[in-house]
Amino acid sequence: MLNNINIAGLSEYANEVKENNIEGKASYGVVLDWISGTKTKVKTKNMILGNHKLVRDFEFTIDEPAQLLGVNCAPNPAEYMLGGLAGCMAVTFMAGATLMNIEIDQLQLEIDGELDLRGFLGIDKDIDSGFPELNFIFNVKGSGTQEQYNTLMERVMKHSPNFNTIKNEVKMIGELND
Amino acid sequence: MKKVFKGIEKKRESGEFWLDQLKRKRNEGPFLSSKRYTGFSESTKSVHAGQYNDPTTNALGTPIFQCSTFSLSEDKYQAISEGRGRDEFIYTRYGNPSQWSVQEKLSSLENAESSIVFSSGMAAISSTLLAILDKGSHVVSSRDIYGGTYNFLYEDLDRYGMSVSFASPTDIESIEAAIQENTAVLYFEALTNPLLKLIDIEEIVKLGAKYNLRVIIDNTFLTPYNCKPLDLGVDLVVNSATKYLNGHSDLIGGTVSGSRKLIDRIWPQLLKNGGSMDPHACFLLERSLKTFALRMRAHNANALDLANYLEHHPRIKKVYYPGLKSHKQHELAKTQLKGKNSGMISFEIEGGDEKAHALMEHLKLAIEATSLGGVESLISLPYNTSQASLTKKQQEKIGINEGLIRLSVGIEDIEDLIRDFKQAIEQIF
Repeated sequence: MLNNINIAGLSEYANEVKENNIEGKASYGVVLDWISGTKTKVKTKNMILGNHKLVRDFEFTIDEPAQLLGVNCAPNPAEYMLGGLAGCMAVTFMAGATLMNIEIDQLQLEIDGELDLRGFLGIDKDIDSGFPELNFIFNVKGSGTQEQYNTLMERVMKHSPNFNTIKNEVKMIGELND
Repeated sequence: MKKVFKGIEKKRESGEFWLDQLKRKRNEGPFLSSKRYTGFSESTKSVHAGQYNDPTTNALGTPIFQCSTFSLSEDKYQAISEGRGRDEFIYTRYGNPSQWSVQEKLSSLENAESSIVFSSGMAAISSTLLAILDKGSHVVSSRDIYGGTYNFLYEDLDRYGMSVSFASPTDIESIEAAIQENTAVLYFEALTNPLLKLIDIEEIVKLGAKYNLRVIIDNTFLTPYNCKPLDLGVDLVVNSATKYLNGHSDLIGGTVSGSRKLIDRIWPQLLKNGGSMDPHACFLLERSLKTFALRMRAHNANALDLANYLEHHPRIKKVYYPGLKSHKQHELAKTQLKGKNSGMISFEIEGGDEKAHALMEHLKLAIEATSLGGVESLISLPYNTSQASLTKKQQEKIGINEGLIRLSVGIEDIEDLIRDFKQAIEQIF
């Protein structure tokens, strides 16, 4: 299979969702438990895809570097967020490359950003605690042309779910149980 | 539409379209002929569905495509590249015309979009479960299931980070109580071995829908002639083809049938596990299936008559047969099996296992052997065969009482079968 992407399966799934929209509904969730200090553990919740449960039996640890009061035993929350963003962009890029009949030899995606921690610390109320901008670079080797890769980057920005979650405003609905 | 980029090949490299424009949809199959005989009845489907008559020689009947590989072509390379290799002949483990032919006949009989034949029932069951379950998944099943399946669930799932719980197959509340957060599959046998308990398939399907689970049914004891689980909303149906489907006690095989979507998920597991059916075995199975409905009518009719005879015999303590009013689930049998019941009978004889052994020795027609579903009657004792891994106390706990005998009623003349049982019982008392 080109790029080990099953484009026939993707075609079948797209056409299935066209005829039966419920099959395109995918619910995601995580549950995080605080361990100690800045260290937390995340477990993935089961997904529901269409009408069927997908068991997601995975977990990972999050921590902060020692300089930011952690014990540096795992990536930090920002790195997981950027990793999730990059992973989603890569999937979208690879699906698009396969659709365009481009064989990819190497894909490396770098994402960089800078936080001003004065926002988190509350030192300056005018400074947003989030990333003001994120810079990403696709390092690609493959059979495609520059023009094709530019088209693919546009596709990623248009269709990647995590990219659009970060780029667009997301309604955040909070609740407290104590 | 088989091809992913049909009609839009030239636009592909410019990236003018996205995934929503891809052309390939899921179709039934893969089949050789599209001879499904939808709307026809069981015997017609058994005879005609899936049969491939060679267009070059006009020879009648599906040839045996006894080959391991097929010559390649540009079309096939394209199919491999696009991930639609299941629709092409590339290598016999992937697919072979002899397999496709019998798979089409089975799909027709099961009212399924797609089927796969395996080298054994356990190959079908293990590949199906491994394909459908994800790491961390849990299965709810029953302790009454076939020993091979029980061993796979109980001994092997753990190795893959999966788990199983066992509930009573006839107690829907106990099944619901066994469902956990990580349960993904409800796995039951439509008619259990050896006590012939029916599961209420529609209730199990409702439970599956309530908890977003997949329902897999082993229908070996009933076959699609007596009950079609897919019509009742089950996701996948598995069979040991060794039994009634083949019916001649001369091959080992297994089947799984269901939607093309789910069978396509099992296919890569078949490629990894092996266990594809040999073309010659496919020929035997397809040929045997031509008389499937005819045989099932004889099995069912003989079993009902023999069950009635045994129930009225003073030396027989109890008969388990869904067609008898004395069966605890006779009412369910009337609706779920539509009066067809089963070719299997279990019964308890006076005098315990000693007399049971003596009976088998004196029978002239029924052969003392494990397995079932052959044209010849086969008889065995569960305590030292299918349930041999349990202690006597464990056996009694699940109803395997002293003197319990399992009988697969063949298609011999019923008068001969009854006469044989009559003389054998007379000799041992």
